[in-house]
Amino acid sequence: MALSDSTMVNAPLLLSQIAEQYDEPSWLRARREAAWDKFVSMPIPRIEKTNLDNRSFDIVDARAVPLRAENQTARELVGKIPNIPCVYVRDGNVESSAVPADLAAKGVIYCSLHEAAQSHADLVKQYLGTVVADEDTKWHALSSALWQGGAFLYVPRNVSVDEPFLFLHSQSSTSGAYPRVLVVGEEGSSFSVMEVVLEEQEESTSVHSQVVEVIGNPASRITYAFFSHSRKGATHFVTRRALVRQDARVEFIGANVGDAFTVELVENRLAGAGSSASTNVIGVGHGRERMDLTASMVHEGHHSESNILLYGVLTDRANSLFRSSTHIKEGAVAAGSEQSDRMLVLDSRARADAIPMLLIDENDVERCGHAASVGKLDPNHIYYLMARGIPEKRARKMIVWGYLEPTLARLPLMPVRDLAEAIIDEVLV
Amino acid sequence: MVISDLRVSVEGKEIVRGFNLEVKGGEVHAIMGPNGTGKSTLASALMGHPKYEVTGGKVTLDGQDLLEMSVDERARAGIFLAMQYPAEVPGVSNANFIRTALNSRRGEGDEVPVLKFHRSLQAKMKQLNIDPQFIDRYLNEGFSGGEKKRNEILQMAMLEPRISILDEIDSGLDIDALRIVAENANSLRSSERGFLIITHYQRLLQYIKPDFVHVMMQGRIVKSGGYELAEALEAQGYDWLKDELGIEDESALAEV
Repeated sequence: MALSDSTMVNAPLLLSQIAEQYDEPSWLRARREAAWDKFVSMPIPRIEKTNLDNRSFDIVDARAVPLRAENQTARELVGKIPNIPCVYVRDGNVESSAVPADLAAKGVIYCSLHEAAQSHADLVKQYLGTVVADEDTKWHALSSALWQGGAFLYVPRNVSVDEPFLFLHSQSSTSGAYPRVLVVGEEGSSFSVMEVVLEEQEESTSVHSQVVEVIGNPASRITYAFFSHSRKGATHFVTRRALVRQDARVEFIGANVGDAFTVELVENRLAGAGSSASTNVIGVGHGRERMDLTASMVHEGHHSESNILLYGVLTDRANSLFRSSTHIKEGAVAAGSEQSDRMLVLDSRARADAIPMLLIDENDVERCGHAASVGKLDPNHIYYLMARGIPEKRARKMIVWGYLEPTLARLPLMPVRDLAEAIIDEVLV
Repeated sequence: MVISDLRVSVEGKEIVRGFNLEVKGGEVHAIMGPNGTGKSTLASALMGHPKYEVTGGKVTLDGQDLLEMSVDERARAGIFLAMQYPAEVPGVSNANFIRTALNSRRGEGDEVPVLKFHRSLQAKMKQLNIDPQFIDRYLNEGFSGGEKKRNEILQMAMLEPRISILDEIDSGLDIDALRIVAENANSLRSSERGFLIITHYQRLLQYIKPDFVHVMMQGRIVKSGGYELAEALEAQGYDWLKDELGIEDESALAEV
């Protein structure tokens, strides 16, 4: 669909307002403007099996201000984890940002991306847009043009941080959300991030674009976890991509719940020798959810290792497509990769597709395995639980939770885990 | 439990063909017989597996009509089936499973306190020589054949059923595991509890001495006796009995 006149007028205005409000350096503003031009001129991509022709790319509510009362769930979550480094963004506005003094003393930087563009312009300039390029796709350009309220995390060389860094984005207005996260782990660093995106408003017609860039420098160990609850109406584009350098390891662990229309990519570029990555994502779709999820591993470094583990649970009329894609490029000698994609369809009206993809350009590959299954609950499992006295409804629920639990258990913050479980429990009733 | 003239079909074929038996509290009944004579079908049908269709007969437990009950109701009424091939259920921990099962049996408001449950579970696992790590492992996932069987007996010990049906609990067990399983089953013998033990071999019955031994052929009991019947079968095989009874084809699908 063509962009509306109001978008063509209001969005550039929004862009200047953001740049002015945060007194952005000229290079950043120039980037935003160039990205906007790309967004306008780039075609809507064709995605196999997911039709974007009728999705609106319009920018609604050109100035993001919180329209409603604060999301209590988000506020409670922040209240439960007082000592955790946290950036809390509400409708694009930075609500709070805190990093404990001991971490700051070690040189750890954790703040909103706006703040970082001022205080650590050199780092932001060096890394922003290097992992997810504007040119990749229309919504990456959109993110670069209009990002608001994102987070910047920098962990210096050989610094290990035990407590996770929380990035919380709460969306209560109907305007588009454009969170942008940039994570840089220096050589030998080790830490985890917990991203939470909560959407409160239904029936927005806006387009959302979220971009996360993770740079895993040599021998770093980074866990990037996410939980998102998204609602019907808007079109959601989400890209999380990591650059994994020599001997580094990046793990994505995530849970998506909702009834939204979403196109999501979780990708690791295993650029370095001996690099490794794993992606473990669960998706719970209800209502008329439409999810197009691609978990991708691109092997460039020799002896690189990757593992993809996807679990989908679909109810009502939800329709999810999970692609697991491994690309072993020429030169990625002795690379190894495993994929597993299991989808559970709980309602006869729900639909699930699991598509494993292997592209192998290198002759010398260590191993490359994949497994995909789509099906209903196993009647033998239900029978076994019932044979011990557990009523059928309870038995079904236990088995579904059995699907989801191992991934949820890996989310690094207990209150987030509890929240995810509560929301999923509500959805699966 | 009283079984009268029970008939069970699988995929349209009648496998159990007029089975009669009464199991009282405190009694141990062994059902022996060659492969394919309907023993496991009987066990699964008593539990209510949806694949097994009861086409005739009656089963009562303490006067209640068992066949009218769903699988979970039968379990809560006191039927326990130690399965030949227990399912592996990923993501559901053993402890959570057993506790949920126990609480389902006890009913709302009478849930077993968590600490008490764990103490009792740990004590019983120790008796069964089960690695304590099994508490948090997923239900039967990656368990060896012997571990699965021991886990079945653990569940039986925790749930304290009225009627315990052991379906070839001896298959896949080495002699030490067999002894442990049998000792634990023996320790659960009581005047309140009846046992139905299904096995090919007399070996298990050396450890769990039955009060009654029944031989199943062609989907029904063809001979009953005491422990000496099991000994005779062990010594002489089933052919002797077939000759005596004039049975050529012992299978459940044989033309009669």
